[in-house]
Order: sequence, then structure tokens, then C-alpha cells
Amino acid sequence: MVSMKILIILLIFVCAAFFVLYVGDFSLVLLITVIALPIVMFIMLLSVKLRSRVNIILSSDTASKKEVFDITLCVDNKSVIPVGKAVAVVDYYNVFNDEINSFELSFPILPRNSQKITLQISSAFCGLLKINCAFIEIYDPMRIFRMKIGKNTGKSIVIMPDCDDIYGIVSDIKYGNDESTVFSPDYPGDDPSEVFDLRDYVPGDKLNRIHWKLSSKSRDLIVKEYSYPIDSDSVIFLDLSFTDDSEYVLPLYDTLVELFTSLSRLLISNGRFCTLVYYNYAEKGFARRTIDSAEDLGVVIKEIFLSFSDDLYMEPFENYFSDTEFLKTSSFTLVTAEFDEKLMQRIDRSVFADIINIFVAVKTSDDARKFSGSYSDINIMPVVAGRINSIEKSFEI
Amino acid sequence: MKKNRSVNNSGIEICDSITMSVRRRKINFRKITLALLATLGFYSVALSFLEMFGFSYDAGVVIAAILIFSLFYAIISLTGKKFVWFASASLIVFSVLALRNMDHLTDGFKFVYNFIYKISNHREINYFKHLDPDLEVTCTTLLFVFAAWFISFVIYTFTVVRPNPIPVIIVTFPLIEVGLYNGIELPVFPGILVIAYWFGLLSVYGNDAGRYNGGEGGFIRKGDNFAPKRNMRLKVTEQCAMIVVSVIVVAAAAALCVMKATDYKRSESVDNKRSEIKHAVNSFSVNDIDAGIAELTAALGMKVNINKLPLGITDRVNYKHITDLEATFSGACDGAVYIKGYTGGIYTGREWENLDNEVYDVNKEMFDDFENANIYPQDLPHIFMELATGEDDKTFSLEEKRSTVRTYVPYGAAGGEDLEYDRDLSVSSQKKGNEKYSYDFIYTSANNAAGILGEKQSAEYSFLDLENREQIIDFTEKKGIPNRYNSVSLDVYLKNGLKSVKTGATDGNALMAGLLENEYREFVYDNYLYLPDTDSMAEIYDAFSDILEKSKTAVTAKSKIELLKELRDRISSMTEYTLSPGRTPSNRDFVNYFLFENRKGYCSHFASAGAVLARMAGIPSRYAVGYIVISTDFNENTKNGDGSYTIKVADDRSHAWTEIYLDGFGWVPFEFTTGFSDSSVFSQSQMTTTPAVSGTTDFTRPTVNTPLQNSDSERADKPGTQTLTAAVTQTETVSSPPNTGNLPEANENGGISVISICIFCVLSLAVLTLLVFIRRFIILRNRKKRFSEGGISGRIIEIYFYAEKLLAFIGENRENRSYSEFAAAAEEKYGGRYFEKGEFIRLKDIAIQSSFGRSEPELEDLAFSLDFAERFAKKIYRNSKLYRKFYMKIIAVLI
Repeated sequence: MVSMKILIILLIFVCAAFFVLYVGDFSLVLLITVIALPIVMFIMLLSVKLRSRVNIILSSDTASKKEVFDITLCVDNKSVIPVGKAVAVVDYYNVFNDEINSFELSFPILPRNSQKITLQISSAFCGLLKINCAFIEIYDPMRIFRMKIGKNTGKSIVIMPDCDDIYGIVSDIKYGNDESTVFSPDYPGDDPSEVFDLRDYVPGDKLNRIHWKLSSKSRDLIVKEYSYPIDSDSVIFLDLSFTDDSEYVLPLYDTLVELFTSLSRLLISNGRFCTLVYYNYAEKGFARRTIDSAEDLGVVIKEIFLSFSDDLYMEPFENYFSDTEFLKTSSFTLVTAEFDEKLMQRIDRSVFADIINIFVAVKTSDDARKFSGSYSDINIMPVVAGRINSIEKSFEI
Repeated sequence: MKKNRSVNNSGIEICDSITMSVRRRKINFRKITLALLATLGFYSVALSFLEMFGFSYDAGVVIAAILIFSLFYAIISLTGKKFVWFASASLIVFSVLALRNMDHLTDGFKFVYNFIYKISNHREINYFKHLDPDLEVTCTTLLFVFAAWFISFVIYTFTVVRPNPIPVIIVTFPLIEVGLYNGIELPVFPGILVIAYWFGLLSVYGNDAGRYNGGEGGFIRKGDNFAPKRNMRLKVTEQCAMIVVSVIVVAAAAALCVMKATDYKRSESVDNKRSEIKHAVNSFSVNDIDAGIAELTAALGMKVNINKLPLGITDRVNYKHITDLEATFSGACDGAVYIKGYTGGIYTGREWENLDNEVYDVNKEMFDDFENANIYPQDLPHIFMELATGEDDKTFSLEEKRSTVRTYVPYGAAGGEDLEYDRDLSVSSQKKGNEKYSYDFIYTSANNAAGILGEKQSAEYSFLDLENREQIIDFTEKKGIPNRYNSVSLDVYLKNGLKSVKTGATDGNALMAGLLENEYREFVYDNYLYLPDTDSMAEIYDAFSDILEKSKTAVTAKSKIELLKELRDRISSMTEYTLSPGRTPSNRDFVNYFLFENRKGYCSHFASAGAVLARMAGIPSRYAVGYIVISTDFNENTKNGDGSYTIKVADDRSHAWTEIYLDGFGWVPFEFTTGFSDSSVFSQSQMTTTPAVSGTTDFTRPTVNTPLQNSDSERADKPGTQTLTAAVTQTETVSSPPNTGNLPEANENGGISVISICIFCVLSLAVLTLLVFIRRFIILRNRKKRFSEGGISGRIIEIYFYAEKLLAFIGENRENRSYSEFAAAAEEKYGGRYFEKGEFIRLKDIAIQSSFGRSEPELEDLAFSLDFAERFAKKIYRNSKLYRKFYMKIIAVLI
């Protein structure tokens, strides 16, 4: 385009010289034409700019890892001028790392028409994928001038993590809490506010537990079992803060989220619910969410991703324990990528749980070998990035 | 289709499959639009060319041919892949028929060339002779039919099939340019259509360049860039082209309408500017680039100071007889008026140049004194003439009729407004453009200066009552000149001293001028007597020693002038005046060669010789260039109603002369050129045709060189002169005043001009570039074919030999070594640098197995070989320096 500009400027000078040197009407007409041409081109381009709209459409707001999804660039040109060449610069990145990639897409824009250019994208890592059309440069028919339309038109899509099979033992230990409104799905208790189950009468059962109304309709006596109010039986603490800025950032994030997902799934599939604690960047504080179904899990994952913003400052992990004096739970699981002794001591002091697991996502197998022993009663398990199945130690959660 | 994917560090893949859809699908007329564009281009080019010249040809046949060829190529260009076959067949037929009719085609070309030659040179002379006029129509028609055939092939091929404006412009531009260059009027409408076609094609090319990837439409990918293929159905490049064509046609039509409505006429100033630029371009010479550039810049409205004037670089001078200056005198002058534009102070043997700036820096204080007193060395003759003669100031005004390099001022002028004095040399104007300058002027010549000058006398002048008393006191105190009792003593050469003839009293301004002249005289004698210390100079001195010896006794201005006249007569007796003396050999001293070998020259030769000899006689002298107006120019024809005279000074009055310094007065012109006097100039019609005697030192040989005393009007009456003038004007042979005698040989016979050479060079370069790229394209295509077609073994062997070529490029030839030895040496030398260690040995092993093994190599081996060769070539290219890269890509075509 620069060369075309130079060519036109040169042509104007040449035509001016030609006008001086050549006696004849043609030279003047030529000079006027060569001067008029860029002016008209500019006006035409301006008209296209003013009468064009750009939009980005995504086929869905969520997708799985490695699932191909469509991204459609919609350009609506209401003017009668076609654009021979338009170049869209589309930026895309995963919010888990700050590396913005982009691609350029050249295409023509038809006059008085609406057109869609559809591309297919997939992501190898989970996270929030932001796709932004930085601008579309449109050129006049002679490619002398260019203007930008559709600046910063963007959309985002959540890439859901995969759920790997993880082989752990779900503990039976529970902690009753009469004031809790959460009831054990597995064990009956004495809280009459909610019926846990109905069963046939067994000698020795209390008479006030017999469901007389139901028993009258059947031949046998039916006994009500009351619910067992409990505290959260499993807490998973997801620590998504780490200072690494190598090429392992995304695999590590991906591993952390997938570890959490897999652990949650393990609990849910065993009829247990869990509580997730994570730092919500949008709310700038620690958030606590109870997950007792796969749907809950999906919602929470989206929430985690969407909470990511450009400002990734996170409060120190220990702050949570200072706010919460004692974390009383049957099992406590920390999923992190940064391990240090102080943190272990803090957890040891602040967490009151029968089972404490720490899953540390590491970059390589060599890094994993450094975690040879355990700290006190804390079960430390390194997980190589991208290889959740590599957890060799058996663990109870 | 195999899909490529691009994965980046974010793990995000962009798939190749891009689709584009539109809401309202319209019928695609892309090829048809391009065919229409090509048709427009073809007809407009043909129409423009044929309308420019009134050739004798059978119009019916040519028009039919144009229609048939355009229809034929339009149809076959729409056939897609079959076009290649049709076009090839048509080219073969074309070549065969052209060869069979070569004689007629050649004659046709000669007829056409003769026609264009006659029109462009405005003369009825044929360039090619011995042509049968009866065959003119037949041969010209045949040539046009074949030309139409070829041009239609080029236009349709490079507009519809492979849009590319370069070959189209290469073929069509000369057809238009041949008329424009020779000043033949191009019909506006067809001309604009040609321009519209070129721009339209440029638009198609600009939007489509490099997108020919074959296959179906859609997008192609290069890294992170996606671009539509040429065949993409939804492209709008052709619509863009038609918009461009429409814009140009509408703009041109509107401009034409306005021009017709307003009855547009070219302004005189534009025509003048045209004439100046043309003049400057025609006078441009590589022999004297400084002057050429100065002329060009002057024509463009900028004046560039030239310090040097090369001598003897051209063999002849031609005049166009156009008016350069218009001089108006308030009264007649009784002698020649020299109007100076350049002064050369240093003679080097091959050129005149100004004194070094260092000399002026050393004497800065003196020039500051001049400036403070508002008196300059150039003003001295005017002051002293006014003082000694009591003559009233005349007014002299000068108007440049065309832009010139310098500002011209006559001797005896002073007080010009808007003038900037260039030290002691000349003046330059602060005005821009061709404006009129006015000066106070008293006619000054060497003779009338000698009349008022006498012997040196020391006189004392009182400045007590003078207006500039303070100025004189400051000056004398600064210089340490005694000024007791308000009087000062100084050397004076004027017969009447520094007292005004009119008033009889001491003139303050003259006294200050006298004081400054006393100081400047020393500077003059220090710097303007210099001559190079060479054998050539010694030879000149020896030859003129009898006269030069007399200089010891020549102390007064009159005696000095008598001495100079004697020198002039001797020079005149030795040499003859001609405008075509030939060039001075580059190893010779200009003056020496003129006086003793060539003995022919024009004013530059005489003036240089005069200046050198004056210096040898101890008279400070310089070389001056400008114009001359003679006394006979002041006649009834030039007289105005108010008694003033307006004289048109043509380029044939450009002149060079010697200026000498008269003590106590200043610089005055002195004429050394044979045939030039106060009342005459040597005209071209007076030139002797006597051949010069070269190679002799008998400079006393009597040569008849009687100057004819013809006036301009007399000369104009001569038919011979008129004929010459007309011819020169038609062929635009020109001369330039500042470069008197230093102009390139004019192109009287329509030979190759600078522009022609430039165009030829550009076209040659374009053709060469095209050939180089065609060669590269063919080599790369063949290599790709060898690597991708045939059996695996054969392909691997080809790849190996390609790798060997790459190694040879970086300095490792196999020569007589075995494959293993060569591979080991290459590994040792380049393994790890250009490729991984062991890779070349592996390639060698695979190649040997392919050649001699029983089984066919694996596909994996082929893939490795290809990958290796590609990486190796890229690595070499990346690590090479720029010129090696160029060599590798363009000459060796290894990548």
C-alpha cells in the first residue's frame, strides 16, 4: 500500500511535469484525473467505513478441550462500494496466560451485502478463551488509503476441563453438627427436620419413629429414619496463584483445574459433596462454593474462569486461614502449583481434618521426584503437568 | 484436502477451513468483467496510436483484424485451462506467419518509422531510404495486423487470465509514448481510456497479487495469515477495477467539459516553463553535471551557485536563437555592454573556479569593511566613473525571459535593490522567479576607464566637512592610517583625484571607496595573478615573452591596455574563431592546446587565453561569463517612445570575456575574442570554413580572420542564417549563457537524447528483470517437479544432488572424492552448523541405497530427505550476507 501511495504521488509529479512539457489538452485532463483519483478513492472509502458494521459470533459459550468450535466474523456493508481487500486482525488468548496471539484474515467485502467468515478454533487447555477482532483494515479499490472499522469487537468462550479418572478412596469419616443444614446423604441421624429414609420396622426401633400413616396403608410397619446434619465432609482448596511465567503456565493451570475437577467428580460419584475454596479475582476475595452435583461443578468452573481478569493479584493464600480460625472437615485437599514448608506448617496448625492431601502440580517428572516424603500427617502428592493419571500414591479423601 | 493446523504456545489451534458466505448471492461476472476491461484497453490503445499518426494503411483490414483478434482472445480467455492450448497454437501460427512475411513486416516497420521520424522532426526526410512507396499501404497494414495480433494476445492474457499490468504496460506504453515524446497531440478520450485501463488493471493486480494457488476457491494460509485465493468466487477485484475505470472516465469527462465550457487555453507562463525545462533537459550533459543540475534547478525555479566552469568538454556550440534576457537602458551606450553572471578567479588548466573560501576567510575583515561602508568591489567602477566624468546615472533594468542559473549585472551598475553581493565576484538576486531587476548604471569599459586614469599619485584629502566623517575616522583608526587634522593620505590613480568633476569638492563616498580600493588592490594582486606552475604555462610565456617583457614598463592603465591589445592581436593571428573547435584532450592544458595545437576556439578559449596572458603580464585578470550587448543594438528598432532602449538578448549573445583590474578603478571587461568589438559580434554566418592546421607550432602563420562587422539586422536578412535558425529551432539545439562553449553537442539529427537513454535503460532493466524471474520460475518449477514426481528412489537422488549443490555453494565441492569421504568432510565442516550432525551422512546413505539398493526406500526416508534439503537451504540462506542471498536466490536459484 505504501508503494501504491508513492506511485500515486510520483504519478502526480510526473503528470504535473508532463502537463508543463506537453502541449495539448490531454496533459491537463490527465493531471486533473490523477489528482482526482485519490480524492474520490478516499471519499469512497470513507463512505464504506461509515456504512459498515462488524460483529463476532461464537457457536457456543462453552466448549470442551480440543473441541472445535466456530467463530464467525460478520461484516455488514450497506454502501454500494465494494472493498477489494479488507484485513481483519483477530487477537486470541487464554486468560490463564498473557500471551496474545493473532492472525490476519484478508477477504473482500461485497457491496450492499452481509457476509460471514467462519473459522474453526480449538484449545488444548482449559480456561477462558478471549477472541477479539482488534480491527478490520479496509482499502479503497486502488489500495491507496486504508481505514479501520470494527475496532475491538470481542467475545469469549469457556473451555471446560477434561475429567480424568482418578483412583482415590473416599473416606467414611464425618463430623456431625446439629446446627448444620447440610445432611449426610449416606448416613441417618437424629435430626427430625428432614427424613433420611423409610424402612421396615426392626425390633428395637423407637416407637415414635414409626410412620403410622404409611404403615396403615401397608401390611408392615414402616419406620422413618431421620437425617444426620453434618459439616462439609471434604474441602478442596484450589490455589491458582503461582509466579511461574514459563511455557508451563497453561499446562500447570490446566492441571490444577483438572485435578480439582477430577477430585470433585470422585466425591460426587461416591455420593459425597465437597466444598471448594478459591480466590475470586472479580470479587477480590476468597469464595466458598458447595458442589454436590455435576451441574454445580460446571457452574463453579465457569465462575472460576470468568472471575479471571487482567489484574491477577491474589491475596496471600494464608489469609484465608487467618480469617477462618479452624477449618473443621473430614478431609482437606489443597490443589496448588507452589509448595513451601511455611504453608505446610500453617495448614497443620489451622486445618482440623482427619485427612489432609496436598496435590502439587509440577512441570516435569524430575520435579515430581523431589517430593519423596510426607510432612507430618499431610499427604503430599506431586502431579506432573498434563498427567493427572501419573498419581502413583494411593490417597484417601 | 490435507488440513494444516497452526498451534501456538497457548494451545489454541486455528484450523485451515475458513468459509465465507453472503446473505444475498449474486451472479458472478468476474471473467466477463475482466474481458470487458481488456477489450476497453485494447481498443483504446489501438485508437490512440492510430489517431495520433495519419499512417497510410488499409483501415478496413486493420479494423477487421482488431475486431477479430479481440473477439478471439476474449473468447479463449474465458475458456479457463484450455486457454493455454489455444494461446500456444495462436502464437505458433503467429510466429510462422510472421517469419514468412518478415520482409513485408520489416518494410512496414521502416515505413512507420519514417512517418514518425518525419512528423517528430518536422522535416520531409526519410530515415530509411530505398523503400518502394507503392508497398507502403500493404506493408504498413500487414505490420498493424500483426501488431494487433500480438498486442491483443498480451492484453487479454495479462488482463483476464493472469492480471499483471507490467507486461501490458511494457507493450502498450511505447505506442502512446512515441507520440507524446515527439510532441504529437494525443486524442483526449482514447488517451484517457488507456489510462483508465492501466489503472483498472493495476487495481486488479493490487488486490490479487500473488494469490494464484490453483485449485478451488477459498482461502489459502501462510502462517497466521489467511488470504482469499484468486479463484474465490466472492471476490470483488473486478468490481473495484470497473469503479476505478469509471472514476477516471467521469473525472476526465468532467475536466474536459469544464475546459470546453471555459474555453481553456494554456497559460503563457506554463509554456515558458515548458520551454525552460526542455532547454535545461536538452543541455544536460554528463560531462558537466554541475552545470546541468544548475540549469535544471534554475528551470524549476531554484538557483544553484556554480563555482566551477569546466573547459573544453564539448566540441561545438549551437544556438537556438531564443530570447534569454530583455535589457532596458534609459539611454544609448557607445560601446559594448558586458552583462556578467559568473566570474572565475582560479585557472587550473582544465577549468575556471572561484577562489577558495579560505582566502575569503583570511580577508574577512576587509570584506566586512566593504559591507560596513555599504560599498562593494563591484560598485567601485560606478563610483569612480560618476566622480570623474560627472555623468548622470542611466537606469538599466533586466528581465529574465527564461529561468537562468545566475543573476546578470553589467559593469558600472550599482545600487540594485534586492541584490546580494557575492564577495568580489558577482551578485545574486534575492527575488524569486523571472522578475525584473533595476540598477543605476554608468557605461563602463576598459577604454573609457583608461581615459580617466593616470599615473599613481599620493594625495591628501580633508574629510572634516564630509557627511561620512565618522565612518572615515573609524576606518582609518582601525587600519592605523594617519588622519591628523581630519585629513587622510592615500594612493589615487584618477587624473582628477577624488574630487567630483561636477562640484569640484572631495566626494565622501568616493573617498571611502578610495580607501577601500587601496586595501582591496593588495588582495587582488595577491590572488588574481596566480597561474599553475606547469610546462604548458612556461611554453605560453616563452611564446609571448616578447610582448610580456614590455609589461615592466606598462604602469599606466593606458599602457596596460595597449599591451593587452598587442596580446590580443597575437592571439588573433595565431588562431581562428569557430563554434566547433572540438574537445580539448583531457590531459592537455586548455589554453596551451588552444594556442599551439588546435588553434580554433570560441569566446571561452579566447577569454581564458587572454586572462592567462594578462596574468603573465602582471595584470590581475579573471574569466567572466554572461551576455554582450553591442552599440549597434541601440537603434531605431529597439528605441522606445521615452527614449529608452529595450534590447532582447538572445542566447547567441552569450559570451565569455576577460576582466582586468585597473588600479584605482576596479574590474573592467576586456575583449580578447576575435571578431568581437564594441560594435560587432562574430555571427555563425561569418565563420570561416578553412580547416585548421594542427600539429604545428608555427603560430606566426598568417591566418585570415577578418571579422565582419554585420549587425543583427543585416545578419537576419541573410537567407542562410534564416535557414539555420529554423533548423536549429526545430531540432531544439540550444546553448546556455553561463556555460558558453561548455554545452553538450546538440542533437540536431534526432539522435539519442538523455531521456531516450534513460527510457532505454529502464526498459532494458525491466526486460532483464523479467527474464531473470522467468528463468528463476522455470528452474524452481522443474526442481519441484523432480522432487515430487516419479519414483521415490529417483526423487531422493535428485534431492541428494541438490544438497551437493548447496554444499558447493558454501564451499564444499565433492570433486574426485568418494561419496563417503565427501559426506564425512561435509559433516565435519558443517555438521551442527547448517544441519544436525549425522544428517548428511544419513542422506548420503539413503541416496546410495536408492541408487544401488534392491528395495525401494521408505516414504519416511523421502520425507527426511526433503525436510533436510529444505532446512539446509533455508539455513544457508539465513546465514548468508545480503549479496550472497541475492546470488543464491537470483543467480544460482538454489532456494
